[in-house]
Amino acid sequence: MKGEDFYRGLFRIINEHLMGMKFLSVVSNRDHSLTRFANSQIHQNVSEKETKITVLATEDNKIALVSSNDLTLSGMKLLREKLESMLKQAAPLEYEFSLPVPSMGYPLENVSESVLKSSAEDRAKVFDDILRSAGDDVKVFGYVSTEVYEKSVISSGGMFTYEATSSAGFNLVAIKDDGSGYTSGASSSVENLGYSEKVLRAVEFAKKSVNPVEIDPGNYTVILGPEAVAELFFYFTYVATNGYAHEMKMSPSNRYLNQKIGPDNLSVYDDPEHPGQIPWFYDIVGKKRERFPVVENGVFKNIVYSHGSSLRFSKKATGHTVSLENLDFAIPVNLVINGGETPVEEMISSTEKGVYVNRFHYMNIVDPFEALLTGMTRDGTFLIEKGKLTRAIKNMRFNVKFFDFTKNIEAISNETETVSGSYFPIVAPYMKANNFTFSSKTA
Amino acid sequence: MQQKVRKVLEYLDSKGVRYADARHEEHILQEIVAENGVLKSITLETSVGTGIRVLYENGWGFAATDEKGNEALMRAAQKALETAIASNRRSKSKVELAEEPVHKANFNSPVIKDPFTVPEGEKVDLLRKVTSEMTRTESVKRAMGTMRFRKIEKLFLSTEGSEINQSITVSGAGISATAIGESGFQVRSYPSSFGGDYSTKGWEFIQNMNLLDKAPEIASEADALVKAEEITPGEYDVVISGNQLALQVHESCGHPTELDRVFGSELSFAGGSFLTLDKVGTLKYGSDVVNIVADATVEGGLGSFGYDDEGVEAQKSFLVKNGVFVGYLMDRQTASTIGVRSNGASRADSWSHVPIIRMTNINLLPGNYSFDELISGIDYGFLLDTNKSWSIDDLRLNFQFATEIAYEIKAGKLTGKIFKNPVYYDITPSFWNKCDGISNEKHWRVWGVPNCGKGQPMQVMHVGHGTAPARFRGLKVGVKK
Repeated sequence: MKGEDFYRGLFRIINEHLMGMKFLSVVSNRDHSLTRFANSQIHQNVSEKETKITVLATEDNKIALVSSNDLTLSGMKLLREKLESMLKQAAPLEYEFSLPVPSMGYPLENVSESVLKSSAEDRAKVFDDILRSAGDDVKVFGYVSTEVYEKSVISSGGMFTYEATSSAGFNLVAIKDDGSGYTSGASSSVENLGYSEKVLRAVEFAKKSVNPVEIDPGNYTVILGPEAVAELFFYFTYVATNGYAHEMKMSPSNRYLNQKIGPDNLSVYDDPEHPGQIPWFYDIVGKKRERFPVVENGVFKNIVYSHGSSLRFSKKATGHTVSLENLDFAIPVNLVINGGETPVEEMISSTEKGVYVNRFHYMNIVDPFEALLTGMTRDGTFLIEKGKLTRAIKNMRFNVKFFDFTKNIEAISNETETVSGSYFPIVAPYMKANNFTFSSKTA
Repeated sequence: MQQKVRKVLEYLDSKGVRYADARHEEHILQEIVAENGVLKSITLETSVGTGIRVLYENGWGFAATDEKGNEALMRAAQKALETAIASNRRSKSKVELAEEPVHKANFNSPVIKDPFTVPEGEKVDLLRKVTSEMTRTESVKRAMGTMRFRKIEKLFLSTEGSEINQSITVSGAGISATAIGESGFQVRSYPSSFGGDYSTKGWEFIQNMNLLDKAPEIASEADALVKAEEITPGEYDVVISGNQLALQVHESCGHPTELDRVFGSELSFAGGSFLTLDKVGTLKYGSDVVNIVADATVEGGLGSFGYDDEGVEAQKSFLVKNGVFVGYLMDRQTASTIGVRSNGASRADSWSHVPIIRMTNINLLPGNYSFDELISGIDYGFLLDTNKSWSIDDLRLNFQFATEIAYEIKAGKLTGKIFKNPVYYDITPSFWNKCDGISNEKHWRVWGVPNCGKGQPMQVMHVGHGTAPARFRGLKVGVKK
C-alpha cells in the first residue's frame, strides 16, 4: 500500500507535467494475491502488483485517453506527448463535453490489518481450515484471495480524491461422489470472511445431493439461495439500469421504470456503506457515492447515469461511472438486495412441491429488451416435497424474463449473505417465486 | 532486460527450485470507437511488467511486478519462491513436467502493414464514415464501429535454458447497427458480434473487411429484423454460419478439451468437463464428418504464436478425428500426467498472470460441400447467423445459443424471408452427431475471439476458430419463455 501522501505527491507531479491541459487522471494501485485449490490440494498460488495511471484529456470538445503503468518522469512526458498527438487526430464529440466538477472529498480508508499483512502462508491456513471442515470423504475446489486497492482521482480543475480498501474473498465447490455444494463470500477483512459455517453448509449440500434424479422441465415454484438471487439481480442491473440504454430506448427500463415490479418488501440498493459490502467510495470520475435506491418497496425507482450519459442527455450523474474507456456505461457496484420477513426454513416448509436452487451457472441475456435470461442450475439443486428437501435433482436450464420473476416473488428471507458474485460482491437473501420456467434438462 | 531476468533465474536456481521461468512483456493497445458518425473514444494503453513462476519441490508460486529494477525483480522472485514453499507444504502429489526441448528462438506474427504506423486520423475517419452510413437507415438509432490493435513484445526465459523472443501484432474491427421499432430493438453485426473479428495480421486485415461496403447491408437487415416474426419452436434442419460455429466450437469443444478442467482445476469457477480420460478414443463426439484440431500454427489466427508461455513450440494436434474424441489441450504438467508431450496450450493474457491451459486456434476442418449444396439439401429450415447469446452447463453438455438472424430455407433455397431472435439448444455430442455436411475450403476461415474468460484471477485470452458453414439435421430451435 502506497498511502495517501504518495498520491498527494503525484497530484503535484501530474499537474506539473500536464500543465496547460484539461484533464482528469485516475491513479490506481492493486496488490492482489490468490491461492487456488482443487482435489483438496493447492495447485495455483499467485500475486500481482500494478500501479496504473489513466489520463482523460479534452480540448475543443474532443477527448483522448492514455493509460500506462510507467509512472517515471519520462513516462509522464511520453504520456503528455501521446495525449497531444491523439487530440490532434481526434474528432469532436456529438454532445458538449466537460470534465466533472472538482470535489475535494475526504480521503477514505477501509483497510484491515489482516489483509494488509496477509501472506501466502496465511491464505494456506484458511485452506487448511476449509480442508478440516470438509472432512476426509469430501473433496474441495476453490480459492482464497486478498487484495489492497488504492485509487486517486486528480483533475486539472483541482479535484483530489483518495480511497483505499481491502478485501478478502473465497469460493468453494465441495464434491462427494456425484453430489456437489457451493458457497462463497467476501469481506473487508480475513477474520470477517465467515467461511466456517458456509463451508459446512456446502459440504452438507454435497452429501445430500448424491444420486440426483431427473425431473421434467416445466414451470415450478422455486426457492433460490443467495448465490442464485445475486446472479439474477446482477443481470437485472446490467441489462435494465443503465441510463444510456434507457435514453436510447434500448432498455427494459423504458417499460418498467416507476412501475411496481414485485412485492412491497422487494428493495434493491447500491450501498457502499452497507457492512456486508466492499465499499467503492468514489466512482471513476471522482464522484462521491451514496446509498442509492434502485428498487424500493417493489417499485423500480431509479436508473443510473454515468458522467458521459449525464452530459449527453442532460441528466444528473449518479456516481456509477465505472470506466473512462466507455463514459456511457454505468452500473451499481455495491449491490444490496434487502432481506424480507420470512425465515428460509418457513419458505421450504410452506412449499408443497418445488425446486431449491443453490446456484446458477453461466447466465446470459437471451433478449435484452425483454430481460430474458438463461442459465443452468448447479451445485445443490433439490426437489422440495411436502415442505422438505427430499431428493437431489439433475441440473436444468432456465429461461426466465426478469420482470416475470419479480412479479412472481412470493417471499423474501430475513437472512441475507454476502456472496462473492461473478464480478463484485453482492448482499442477497433467499427468495421464493412461482412459475419459474425450466426449459430443458441435461441428458 | 534479458540479463536482469537471467540473474533472477540464477538466483532461484541457487535456492534449490526444481524449475522457474520468467516472462517480461510489453503490451500496447489502441482502441478507437465511433458511434453514429461521431468519434466516441480513442484510447492508448501501455503495460509493462514481469511475471515469475517457481516450482519448489511440488509446490507452485507466481509473482508479478510492474517495476523494472533489479531489486524489484528480486523481490518478486523471492515472493514467488515463498509462495511456492507455502504451496509445497500442503502438496500431496508429485508435480512433473513433460519433456520439452530447450528453445532459443524468435517469432514474429505475419504483418504486412503495422497498424500502429497507420495514422489515427485515418482510422477515425473510416469508422466515422461507416457508422454514418448505417444511420442513413431511419430505424437505425445506434451505429457502432470499433477498431482494436495490440502489440505484444514477449521475452521468455527458463531455468532449463530456453530463451524466446516473440512479437505478436493483433488487429481487429467490427460494426453493428441497432434498429429500434415498436416491438423492441434488434442488432445486426459484421463481420461478427461482440467487437467484430480479430487476427494476428496487420492493417491489411482491416482493409480486407470492406467495412464501408458492408455497412448498408447490415443496417438494412437490422431494420428488417425489428419487423420480423419469431420462428415457431420445433425441430428443423439448419445450416449454421461460420461466425456462429466459431463460438459453438469454442464452448462445446474448446473448453471441454482443456485437460485442467478434466482434472478439476477450474471446477469452482467455469466448471469441469464431460470429456473424462476414459472417453479418449472411445466417445463418438460427432458424426464422421466432424474433425477438430488445435492449431497454433495457422498463419494469422488469433490463437497463433511461436511458443506458448512455458516455452513449448506451437503445434497442430487432433481433438476430434472422424467424429471420435482423441485428444486434449495441455500444458507440461497435465501432459506429463497422461504421459505425452505438451501440445503447447499454456498461455497467460499478460505478464501479471500465470499461464493456464487455454485454447489456441480450435478449428473445425472443412468438408466437401459447397455452400449451395448444403442449402439445397434442406426442404424447410433455416440458416442461422452471428451470435447473440450463449450459455452452457458446467460440464459443457447442455447449451443454448441465440443468433442475430435466421434466414428461411424452403425447397433447397434461401427464400429471402428472415426471422428474429432465433434460439437453438442441444446436448454437445447429440448436436455434433447431427452434423451431416460441412462446407469446403472455399468457405473456411479463421475467426478471432478476443474475449475468452477463464481462471481466477480472471484472464481474458485471444483465441481463434477455423470454421465453414455446416448443416445439422433435426435441431431444436425456439424456446419456451
